[in-house]
Amino acid sequence: MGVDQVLDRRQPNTIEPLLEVRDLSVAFRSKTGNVTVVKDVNFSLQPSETLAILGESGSGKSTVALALMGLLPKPNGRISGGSIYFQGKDLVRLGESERRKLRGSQMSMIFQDPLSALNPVYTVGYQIGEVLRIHRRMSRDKIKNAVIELMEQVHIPDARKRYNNYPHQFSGGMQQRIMIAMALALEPKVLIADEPTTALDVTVQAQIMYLLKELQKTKKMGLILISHDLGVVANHADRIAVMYAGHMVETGKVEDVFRNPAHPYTVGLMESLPTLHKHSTRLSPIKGSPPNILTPPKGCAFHPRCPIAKDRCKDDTPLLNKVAEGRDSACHFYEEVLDND
Amino acid sequence: MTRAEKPILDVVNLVTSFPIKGGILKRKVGEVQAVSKVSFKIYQGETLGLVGESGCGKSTVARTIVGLEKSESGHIYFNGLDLTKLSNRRMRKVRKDIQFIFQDPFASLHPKMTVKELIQEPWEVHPEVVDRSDWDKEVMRLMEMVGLNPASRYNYAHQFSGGQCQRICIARALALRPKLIICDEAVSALDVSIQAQILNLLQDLQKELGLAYLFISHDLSVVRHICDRICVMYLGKIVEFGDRDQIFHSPSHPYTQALLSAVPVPEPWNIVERKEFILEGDIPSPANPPSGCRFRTRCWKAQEICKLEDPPLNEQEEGHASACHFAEADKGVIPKFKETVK
Repeated sequence: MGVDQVLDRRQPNTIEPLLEVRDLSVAFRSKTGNVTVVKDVNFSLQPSETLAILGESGSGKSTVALALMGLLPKPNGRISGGSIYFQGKDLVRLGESERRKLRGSQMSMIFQDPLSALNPVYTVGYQIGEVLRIHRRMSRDKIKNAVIELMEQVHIPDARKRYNNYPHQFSGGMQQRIMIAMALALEPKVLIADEPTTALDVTVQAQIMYLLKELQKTKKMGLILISHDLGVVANHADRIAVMYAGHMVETGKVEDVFRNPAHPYTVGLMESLPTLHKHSTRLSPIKGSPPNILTPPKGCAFHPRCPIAKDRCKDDTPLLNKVAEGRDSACHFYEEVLDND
Repeated sequence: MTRAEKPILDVVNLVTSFPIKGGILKRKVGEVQAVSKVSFKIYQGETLGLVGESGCGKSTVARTIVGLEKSESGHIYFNGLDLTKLSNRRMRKVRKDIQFIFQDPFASLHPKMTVKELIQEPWEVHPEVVDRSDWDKEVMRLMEMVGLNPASRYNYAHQFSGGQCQRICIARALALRPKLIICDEAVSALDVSIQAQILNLLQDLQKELGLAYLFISHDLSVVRHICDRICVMYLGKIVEFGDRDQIFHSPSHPYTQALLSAVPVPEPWNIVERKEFILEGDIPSPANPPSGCRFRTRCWKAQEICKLEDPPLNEQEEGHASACHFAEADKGVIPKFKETVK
């Protein structure tokens, strides 16, 4: 997609977006040559907004997150094109030392598995305080008090007592709270949550999502919620971007997208999902399996699995185009999809 | 529902516990009762769901049934035979009728064996099932049955996707023509679109072969889709059981209600009404369970009696029982939706 189109779409937005990603591509070096795992991805994030990136494993959603944070595995992963604008600066062109200043203080990230993200040989108090020690020169006492306050903010009971505990002494839900405390210590403007509740039980998932919502509201953070769970996304996001095989295939307001999806992949996802409130005797899954990222199909990446694919889809890659106010879809035949509903 | 007279599996008051070892000598200093007096029945051709949060003992129940853990007391009757009393040699014979499908398909397939070797391996242990000369034919038949291309039988597990690997696991589980398959979080690691394919496959196979499933999962939407009857477990105990509609339409144990109300549904804007119970805190340690009712520390209905008396599983209507002093059916936890045009 050309830059003109992107700018065009931005104009009605009077509020300056917090984060703006344009034509972002990420490539990994492999034995067989360069593999593009994220291709020409565009999106923006407003203050206090929750944007969900929805996709199945291998769709590139976590890679987008790592690219935003500047945490792509070196030396094999790199941003091969596009820009990430944050506070007027293009992060792609920023040096590592400047990136490091932003990371943790302006942009933070929470990972899926809290236990593997925490260091087992340091106390949680020490680990939460680390970000304060590095970014802010504070005295030891002040750091300790700040950490305890943070632990209280994320509702860890007996924060003062638990300050000296090690990660394994906490349950999964509590560990994720510690991760959240760590991520929010410096009140970042953007928080990226990569599958924050996937490793947790449903009752704990509900607690953590409410906590995130509450903290987001008080701190006016922009939240990028990366998830494969349609239920979590529907309940907690404002806008949604659906990814498939490294491409963004549909974006829009959550409610609009879920009510009347404009891409056959989104439709397929919804029909694959068993529901809680009514019993269906049979599911209608998307046929086939996601493409191998090393050998992506020509044309539209979804066409081998698509129920409405036509000849054109085999060689003409559809771009993300406006289909309605605030909605985009990367399907040549989106009208058919919309009408079908 | 028409039911065979005798259950294929009848678990009675099953207890499984693990020792806690401590000190330099690693002596037993205590024990964790992971499964505490659990009873249920499975009939031929039906799917029984076992749901609960991590650490509630649902996998331990499954592992004890196939003899991967030793039971402390209680009985496991499989086709009338008490498995807890069998010698290892006789147990091996019975075990061919009970097969297991695990959560992580990659971890359950040996990376250095071809699909053909993986599927035919059970016949090395039980040569009476299939004649050696028919192995190749049978492998191909099984692969076709689970939706794999038989031509790929000389490929290795890493050449398949997650969903395909799970199909291989299913083919291998079917190789010995079992009567009961235990699916321990069998679709939890799969993507939504693939998960739906595997669920459909499991249902088709059940119809075709008259299999019984013990389906263990934490995903309540999946359980609702595939299970005929459901047991809800909390800290090693069954707190509620009933058939699908009883559990999902009128759950009566507070834990079941909280569990159901915590599931995020994909269309929150269409909800007219839904009760929400957000549970406080975490599941207590099974090494030191609360006195009386084990759920009382997180329960909003808890009173003095819950501390003193462990509530028994009381049948409230036919086939629907709940272990709560204040059990009361609540129809409000499953969201009511607006009539949609869709």
